Amino acid sequence: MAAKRITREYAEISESPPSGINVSLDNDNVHKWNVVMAGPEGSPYAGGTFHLSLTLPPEYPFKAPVLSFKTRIYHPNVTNDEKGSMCIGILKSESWKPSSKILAVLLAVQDLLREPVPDDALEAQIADKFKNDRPGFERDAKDAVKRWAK
Amino acid sequence: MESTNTESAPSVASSQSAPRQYGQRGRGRGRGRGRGQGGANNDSTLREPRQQENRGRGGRGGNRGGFNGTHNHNAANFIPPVQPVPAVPAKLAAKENVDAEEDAGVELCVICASEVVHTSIAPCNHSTCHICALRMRTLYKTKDCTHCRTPAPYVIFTDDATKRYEDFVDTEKMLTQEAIGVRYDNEEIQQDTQILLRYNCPDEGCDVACLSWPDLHRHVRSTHHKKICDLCSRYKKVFTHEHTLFTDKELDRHMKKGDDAPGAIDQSGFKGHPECGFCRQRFYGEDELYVHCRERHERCFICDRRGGQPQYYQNYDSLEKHFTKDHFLCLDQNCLDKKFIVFPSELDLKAHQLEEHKDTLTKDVRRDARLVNMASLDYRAPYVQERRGGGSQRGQREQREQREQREQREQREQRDGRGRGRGRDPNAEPIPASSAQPLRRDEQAFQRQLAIQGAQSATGRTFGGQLTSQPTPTPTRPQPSSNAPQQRTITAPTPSSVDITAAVVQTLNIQPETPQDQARLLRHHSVIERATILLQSDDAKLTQFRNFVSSYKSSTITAQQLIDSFFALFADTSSNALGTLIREVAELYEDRTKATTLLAAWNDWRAINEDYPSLPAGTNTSTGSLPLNWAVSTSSSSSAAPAQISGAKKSKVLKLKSSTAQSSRSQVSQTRSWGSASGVAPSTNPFPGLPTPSSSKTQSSGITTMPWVGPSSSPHPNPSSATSSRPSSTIPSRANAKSGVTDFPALPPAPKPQSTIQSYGSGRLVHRDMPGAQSGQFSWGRGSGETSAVASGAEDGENGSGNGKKKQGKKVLYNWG
Repeated sequence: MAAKRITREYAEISESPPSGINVSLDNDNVHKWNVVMAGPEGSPYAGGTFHLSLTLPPEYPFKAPVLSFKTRIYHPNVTNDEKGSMCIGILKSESWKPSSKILAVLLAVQDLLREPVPDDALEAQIADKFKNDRPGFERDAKDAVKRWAK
Repeated sequence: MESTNTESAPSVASSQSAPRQYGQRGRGRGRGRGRGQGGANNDSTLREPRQQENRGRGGRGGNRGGFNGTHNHNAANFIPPVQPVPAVPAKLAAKENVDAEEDAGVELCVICASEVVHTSIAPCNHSTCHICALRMRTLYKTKDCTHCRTPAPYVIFTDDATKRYEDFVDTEKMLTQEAIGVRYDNEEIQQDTQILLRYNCPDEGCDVACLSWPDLHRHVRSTHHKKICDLCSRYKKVFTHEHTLFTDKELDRHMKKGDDAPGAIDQSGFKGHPECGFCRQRFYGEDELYVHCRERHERCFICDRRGGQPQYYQNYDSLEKHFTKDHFLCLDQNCLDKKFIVFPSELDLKAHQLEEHKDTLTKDVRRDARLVNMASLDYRAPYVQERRGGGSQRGQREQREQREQREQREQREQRDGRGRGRGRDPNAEPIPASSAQPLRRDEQAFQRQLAIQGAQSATGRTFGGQLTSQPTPTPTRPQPSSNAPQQRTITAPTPSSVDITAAVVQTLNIQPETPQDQARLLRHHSVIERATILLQSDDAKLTQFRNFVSSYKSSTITAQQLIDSFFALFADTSSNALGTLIREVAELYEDRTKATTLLAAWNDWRAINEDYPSLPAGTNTSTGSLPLNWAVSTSSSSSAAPAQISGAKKSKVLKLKSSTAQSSRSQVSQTRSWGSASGVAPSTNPFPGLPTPSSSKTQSSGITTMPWVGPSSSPHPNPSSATSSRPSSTIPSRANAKSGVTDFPALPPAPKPQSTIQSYGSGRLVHRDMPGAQSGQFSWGRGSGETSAVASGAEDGENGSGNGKKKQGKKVLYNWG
């Protein structure tokens, strides 16, 4: 049941990939996608290449996918560690809708890179910096991109 | 999100599907299982998920035929037009499918991407196929629209996808199934739907609809010699016929590893049911396992605060063992009964004891509790905790290793009877001074904050400033290679002595750049401050003092001469106070031989000039393991025997040097024993370290006065650091204690009720009767499908529990994340 929907979505994204996003299947497993996302222009992440892992549960689309950054990133809404767990509204179980598409999720991630949501942060320190010291945040984020996302 | 328009596709779809309905109807009698793909007892169920999909189709076909009362098993050869080509890799197949379906003008459900048979229309006019709508309503138990989450108390199942919800008039009179909130446009759709809700056998070639879960379990076992995964049957949100039949072996694999087949067209993505490492019981998914662990097992809130991988403990007993081993558990019986009265540091524990148990503690114990063992103060922990998120796992591992090393060291020390008061062994403390440097400012800030809080507390004592400098010496402790005495003081520079200090710094030619230099600078401060106090701020004498010190450094005078001149200079000062000063001075010298010579000279002087045997330097040097009992022990003076020997003679209470505990090199033990001597000797004193002038007066017991505590002596903070750090650190720790209690209320002493999973068989009769009465038709909507699932465990109980028990014997605590 899930596989059909997923393969369909995968076909759609593969045919007309959104700019800056590239997807591939991990080992032909439609439940595990490798996403390569370019840091959006105009954001401190521009120039960086971010690898993400998208896991689609067997219950998809009735349950939300799980998305995490494999590339370490300095961002209020992504844990700054190897796990790279992220907090994004569209994927929260209380707001997930079976009609939401993976494409929408990926675009939401791009938006999150452009505009972090410090009020919904996983990294409180980074969120504070984002709120109170925006230039400092951007500098740190760019440094982090140079270090991890090149 | 797709709009409604794309959903309510061309009406062609429905007309196109009309002829197929006939075919399906015929097939539907056989519930699509006569297709011959599997046949009865098909053992090649390696591609289970595909079977599911086929079954889904079959089910749908069955629905079609639902109203046509005759049974027809002859539709075996019908193959749906959208049947995917199995052998093609997923992506290609997907594309082909999409193309094929779109070319054919078949309307696809946005949710399941399958062909729409009947359309479900919600009040918000969003539509899905009726199967997705039914799935949401019966299995996922939500009546919200799948598109916009708008609550939809009723949806309409219809074949006319172009109609809007409002177009249906007289909805009250439509065929309605209240339990699931579905209105049917016609009877055919209703019957199609209801067939989906029966206990249909998952086997492709079997059209048996059982009465209940137990009935179905028995049916598949006796007829097909297979099993349905018990956990899946309870939790998996699929219709009955979409479940998978397993042989015993397959079921085992399914439990342990799942039956995902990456690359296959119909892979499930299922990775097996996770097992609780304590109970050897499997749970449907991580969420269920998490709930189980949260309810049945324990986590250490202190470790949780430090971050890292959450670790579970089987029960409170084992958690308490962990508390005892790794943290500071209050051993008071009341607190033990209350549970979770445990603290991350000894300091916090003492604060708790003074706060909560002051009535039950004896005076001595209370006094000892007020003493702070600087050795066990872990400055680093709060800092690391704060940057938890940013800390890489490597950092956490390092921290853990450090902690472990420290614990091992402490255990070793305790085994050797040395006691923990001895302080840290610098050789075993793997904190490189260089890497610690960047952390210093943060730590200082943190400590400063603590100090400020402390200073603002009701105690009204003015040692807020002293804490500030405490952490600084920590990383600058002597490099492991050097083994000369080096002692830190905690006395902070005060404004009045800054300029003097600067002078001394110049005298001794020290550039305060490296951490070592900074520490040295601090020691200069403290020496100067002490000298200032002892000399009662006599500038002339102070200048003399500085000159002596630098003369000795430049070797123009010998240590003996220096001592003599000191003695002349500090004529009013007690020998103990002078001794302290000399020790501090000795530490200022980078040249270790100068320091040792000076100390030796001082001891010689004492030996000659006092009637009591002095502290022989040699003896003390060898007995490096002298315990610093006063800092830790709860048995007070009795355990300080070695110190008493030397200290009892001139029992002048020096309020000094608790910080010595930080440095544990052997040669320093001499100085430490001094400190302890002064602290312990007057065992009649209530609390030697109390820094208020009044307390020092009460201590007098006929002892010489201490000029440096005199009223004239000013705003200088009292150099007694042991006590000074107490109030400031107590404040946060108390807060910790409280929050700890409220955040983690005690466990109910009574055992928790057993979960339904373990109570197989109970209520079996009851549940089995119920669906029977309903002919198995509408039970899904009322949830009796789930309750009867409990009873079904009775059937497979032996197998289920057997599987649960024969897991590998690994003793792994379950880790999340």
